[in-house]
Amino acid sequence: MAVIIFKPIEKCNSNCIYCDVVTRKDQQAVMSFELLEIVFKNINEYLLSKPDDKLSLIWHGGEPLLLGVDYFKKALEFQEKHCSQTKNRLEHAMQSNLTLINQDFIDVLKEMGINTLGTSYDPEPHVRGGGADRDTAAYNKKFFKGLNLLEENNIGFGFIYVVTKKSIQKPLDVFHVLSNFKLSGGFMMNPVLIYGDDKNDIAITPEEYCDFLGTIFPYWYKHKDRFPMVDPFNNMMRNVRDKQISLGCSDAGDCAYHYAYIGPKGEASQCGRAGDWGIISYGNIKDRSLIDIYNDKSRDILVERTEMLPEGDCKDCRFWYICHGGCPLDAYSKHNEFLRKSSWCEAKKGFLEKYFEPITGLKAEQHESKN
Amino acid sequence: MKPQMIVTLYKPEFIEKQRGRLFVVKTDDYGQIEDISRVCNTHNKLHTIVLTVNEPFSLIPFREEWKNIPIYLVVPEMGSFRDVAAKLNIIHQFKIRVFLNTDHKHTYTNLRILSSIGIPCGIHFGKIDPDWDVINDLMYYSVYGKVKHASIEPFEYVTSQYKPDIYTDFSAVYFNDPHQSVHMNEFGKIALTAEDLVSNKFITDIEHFDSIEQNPLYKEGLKRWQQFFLDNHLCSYCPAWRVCLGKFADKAEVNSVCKKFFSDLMDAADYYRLKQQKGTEVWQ
Repeated sequence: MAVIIFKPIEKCNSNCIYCDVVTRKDQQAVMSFELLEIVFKNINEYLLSKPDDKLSLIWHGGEPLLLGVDYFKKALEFQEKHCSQTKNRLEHAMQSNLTLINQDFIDVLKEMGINTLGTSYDPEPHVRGGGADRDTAAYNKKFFKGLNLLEENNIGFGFIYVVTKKSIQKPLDVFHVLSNFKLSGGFMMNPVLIYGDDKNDIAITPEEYCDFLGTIFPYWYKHKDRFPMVDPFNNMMRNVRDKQISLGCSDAGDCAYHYAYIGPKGEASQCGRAGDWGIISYGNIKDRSLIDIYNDKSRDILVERTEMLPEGDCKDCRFWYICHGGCPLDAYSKHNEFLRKSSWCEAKKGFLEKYFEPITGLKAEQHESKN
Repeated sequence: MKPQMIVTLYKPEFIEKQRGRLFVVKTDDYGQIEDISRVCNTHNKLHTIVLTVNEPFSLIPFREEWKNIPIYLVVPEMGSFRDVAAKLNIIHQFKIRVFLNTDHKHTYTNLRILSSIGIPCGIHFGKIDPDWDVINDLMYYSVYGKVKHASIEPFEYVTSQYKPDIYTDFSAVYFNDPHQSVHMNEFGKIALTAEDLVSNKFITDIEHFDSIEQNPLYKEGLKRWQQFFLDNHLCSYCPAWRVCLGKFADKAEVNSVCKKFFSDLMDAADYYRLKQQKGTEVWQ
């Protein structure tokens, strides 16, 4: 499946401490309707050229709901106009902070076939929210209102929690508040990723992230029936115990074949982070088709990376099959080159060796996937 | 989902005007019990009578006529065991659950005694800080005890109703969970909880009860738990939040013993759930 991280807007109504999109990017840029129409024409062309493929268009930002309801209606109009033959292979998804959601948005999201939204959550004051001081109270009030509206409309949600220096000292507290907030699970604890200056002093090391997860893991494992779908734990269990390999874009080693980013001015690159960081550019959707973007020669370096690492940084690593050297962008941010393993390798490897394997008694070994 | 029960004081003229409702009636007069049952079951249905009296359980003048009437009896203490034992035959024929007040020093022992002689019972939380360690002992007896005994609330509710993916609100034991019941005053005004009723915080009236699930104040009331997260309250960080929901929040800052108790209660709930899933072994 082709996945497009689609950011028609970079502007956001929040100033989350761990997000650098709003400071790094031109916040005023919003994709014009002309360009939006080109995107749907391109999607149609791509799907016609690949009759067995699907395409997932992930509306991202900034905050996509700042676009307004009419923008999404226009998108549906363009979809109807240009993708009449292919729309059944086009899936929409969205990552939103939910603070602007209302019934009009819900109605149009349903029309787009979206029945689950991705969001983020952090209970700590001054982590999420508007303004320099980040007004968390006002933000969370709107956020919960949004969640309640989703619930009324039977729309599910999953969320990401970003582990920063603020939370590193209290892993279990963090875990409890997150799992209390959403009992059915569906959340992921990711490390904060800093590219450039750590101006908010929130960066953590891979070792700290490893120990953060490792402090939570024994409790989670003991009560795993109580805490379904908490990642990365649940996913590791699936991969190692159940032998059902399911890897995210960072670990699959095949992001070169599936991902693309399109920004508000039509600029294309490898993925959302590449777009945010301004690297691995694939030109502009105005003058390049999606087919061209997916065949761009610049992707070769990512393919080469997956071929080369088992003989290089990842030689003889028994976790290769569930890691593939990690995210190429993480490697780039540390080494200024892609043909290296991710700097977060120590977190994953460390967690598996120090916590996961001794606690579960399972051994992470390559095997034929049951999938 | 709409709450099914209306909790109210006994006002016969009011209840008689209603049709097809399910009532929980509160009274402090055991002389009214048969009357309440008759009036409520004429055009409506009686769920339970909550009888709150100041006498010890041993001194309640049980009558044969109460046999088929579900009664929650809230008393300060058990009283003389000899007197209870003398009435045991008749009590066993009743649909009764006895709640003892935690403010009384022998309550925990007496609940264990009542449970052991087959009388369903429960904790009625009083004004004084409960002794969580002793409550924990009682919970262990109630959930893990191998000798046959009657259930003790709210342990029974939490262990039997607990599901990992939903909040378990044992207020339901005390008819104070707005998902299941609402409270009505003598003028037909409806409040979400007993506390709201006392503070005159009404959300609607009996005429609009049938559409209460559409009422914005009702919907908002069901989400009160979210305030703990909005306030970043200590209770929202508690491993046992899902079975407590901050009921002892005013004490949580200084008294984290409740955390230990409720965590053990959750483990008990998991144990009970797994036991139910496995079914009964042959040797059992």
